[in-house]
Amino acid sequence: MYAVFLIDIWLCLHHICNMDVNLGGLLKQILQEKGLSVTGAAQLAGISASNLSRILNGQVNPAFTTVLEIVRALGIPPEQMMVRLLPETPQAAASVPAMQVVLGLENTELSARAAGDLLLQAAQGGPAGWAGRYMAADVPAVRLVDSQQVGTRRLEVVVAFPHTLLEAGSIASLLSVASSALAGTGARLLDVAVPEILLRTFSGPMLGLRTVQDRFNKHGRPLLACTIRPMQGLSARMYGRAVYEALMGGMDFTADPTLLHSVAGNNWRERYHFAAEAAAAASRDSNERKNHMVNITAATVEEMEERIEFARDYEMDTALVDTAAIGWSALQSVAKLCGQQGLALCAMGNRALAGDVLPEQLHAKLLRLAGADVVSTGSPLRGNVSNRRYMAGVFNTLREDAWEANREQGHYVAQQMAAHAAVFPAVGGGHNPWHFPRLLDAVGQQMIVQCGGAAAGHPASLQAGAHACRVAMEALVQARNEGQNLTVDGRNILLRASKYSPELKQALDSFQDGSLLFGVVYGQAAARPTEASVVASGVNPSPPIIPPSVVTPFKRPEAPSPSAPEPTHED
Amino acid sequence: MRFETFSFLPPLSPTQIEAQAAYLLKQGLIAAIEHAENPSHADIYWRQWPIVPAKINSATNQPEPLSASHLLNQLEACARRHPYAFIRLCGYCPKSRLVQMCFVARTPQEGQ
Repeated sequence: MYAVFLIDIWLCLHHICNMDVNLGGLLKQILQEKGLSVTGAAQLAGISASNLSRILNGQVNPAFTTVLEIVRALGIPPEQMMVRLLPETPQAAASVPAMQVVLGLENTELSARAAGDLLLQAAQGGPAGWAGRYMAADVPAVRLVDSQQVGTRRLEVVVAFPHTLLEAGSIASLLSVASSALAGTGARLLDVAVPEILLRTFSGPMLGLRTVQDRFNKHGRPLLACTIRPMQGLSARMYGRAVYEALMGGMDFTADPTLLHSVAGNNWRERYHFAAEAAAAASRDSNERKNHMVNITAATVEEMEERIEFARDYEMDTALVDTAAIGWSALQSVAKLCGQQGLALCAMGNRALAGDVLPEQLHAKLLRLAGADVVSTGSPLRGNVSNRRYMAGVFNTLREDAWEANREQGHYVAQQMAAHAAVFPAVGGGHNPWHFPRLLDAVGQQMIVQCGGAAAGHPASLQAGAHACRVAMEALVQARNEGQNLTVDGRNILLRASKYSPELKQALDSFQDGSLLFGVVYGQAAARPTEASVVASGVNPSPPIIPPSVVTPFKRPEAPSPSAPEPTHED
Repeated sequence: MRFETFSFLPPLSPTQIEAQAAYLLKQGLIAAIEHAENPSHADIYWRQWPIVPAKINSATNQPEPLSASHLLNQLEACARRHPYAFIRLCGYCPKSRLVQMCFVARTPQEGQ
């Protein structure tokens, strides 16, 4: 222990002696502070007064032992000498562009200040060693920007990581550094502000919103996408048949389900083959540009590369991947490969899995950096008003160039996207034509509407369902352009359009509005609708909550005993 | 033949087309009229019909801003010159550099 202490002091003073610093000036200052004369100090240190005065005036370079004697005599810790000698440039350290990470702590006993210290230490990876303690002040380091209490039980801590700590163009590096403060602290990652210098190192979307619109020649209306159902049990040929029907009905895209990778009886080569045939035939027959998104999710990046090239050989234009399942590095590889082959990459899939780790808004930001061209999002029609505001933040993240901090929208920090292309949001979740007016109002026309459930659930056929969706959307866009308010008049517009479209009439009769607003279902009495379920008309998706006191306990019905004689009515 | 936006609606009447043109101008989009005979899904580029200004303001020597009725007249002129063509009205947004709207306003079957 003592040896370590000596080495400590030695290192410190060695620095002082070798550095081009004003040692004499500092010693003079300390003498003044302590009220000592030169002769007094010289006596304490055991050196001659003339020698000390020469040191004070900077005329000699003192020996290491001499400086040690003086410092001891003055009663000053060597560390303090070191710190006072170093040039003070905190501004320089602060001006290095840094990634700001917002962390949230809930239900904690810590004060805001203690939480800040805890998370800072966790972000630094524990206490600094001796080399860290004597780090020059201008070396960029992790620092605490803010720590405050929000509401009653929530603390928000902002930690800044200098961009020099991160590797260029790596989401993995970004996430690993940003989440370093989560280890053992129970905090959650809320938002990350990526500095421009780092943003420019990411490739971003190769095609993006504008190129997808231009390439597929879809202008002036939202696009419609349909996931092919049933997910299991179709042969590749019948699967292609479903693709053709949906596209001919008026869908712009069809998509593989994210959970359909390669199964016996419908392996990926066969599926790509028939789906490509179907999309080409539908383009030819409908005279519109149609496309099928093939699911390339696979075990290894090499396998996914093979599938991308296979899809390219069939002249397909879009590939789909379950991002939460394959991970960030694989996603960046796939985005690069898709860009090389000119395919648009659709980041679909498991938002539940992703949402367990990252908030949707942050997930969308990272997907945009990683290079997805289409990103599936939740629906703004679900839940309450605060969810709608939050979803507005997600759409900002995908489509805007810059945005301000706005807590309601999930933006804890301001961010600008440094010229990364905008991304197409693919709004998901059980929409039927009744939802389109509010959806168009909430999201705007630059979106892809996933309405596979309504198309497949149409009583007539898949083609009729697709037709109904398309007619409803076009009628709404036309009415909006003519100056009608969709939230107010949406219902009438749809009913008017159903006069000339029997398919739409049938869809409006068989689906119901508002099925996205499901509430709490008490117990397991009713099958709870999931995000993808389209609820039929006349079925209450959220039955009224029955308080427990009213519920009659289950009573087993009396089984007729075999011994009892049958009642006869003859007498 | 169905062709992209508004193709699943009944044919637009001149009043309805004028309403769309008015929306286009109100949004600050740049109007373009394009026509093609036998268009296919692979044809991105159609031939452009030059929109001549309605009149020149004699005081400023600058063309007057476009009006919806003038755009409708130009569609009519294009249809008269190319009776067998599909004619579409496009609105290009100079800010977002996106074609914000584009729909077929005239088809060959009409007006015969």
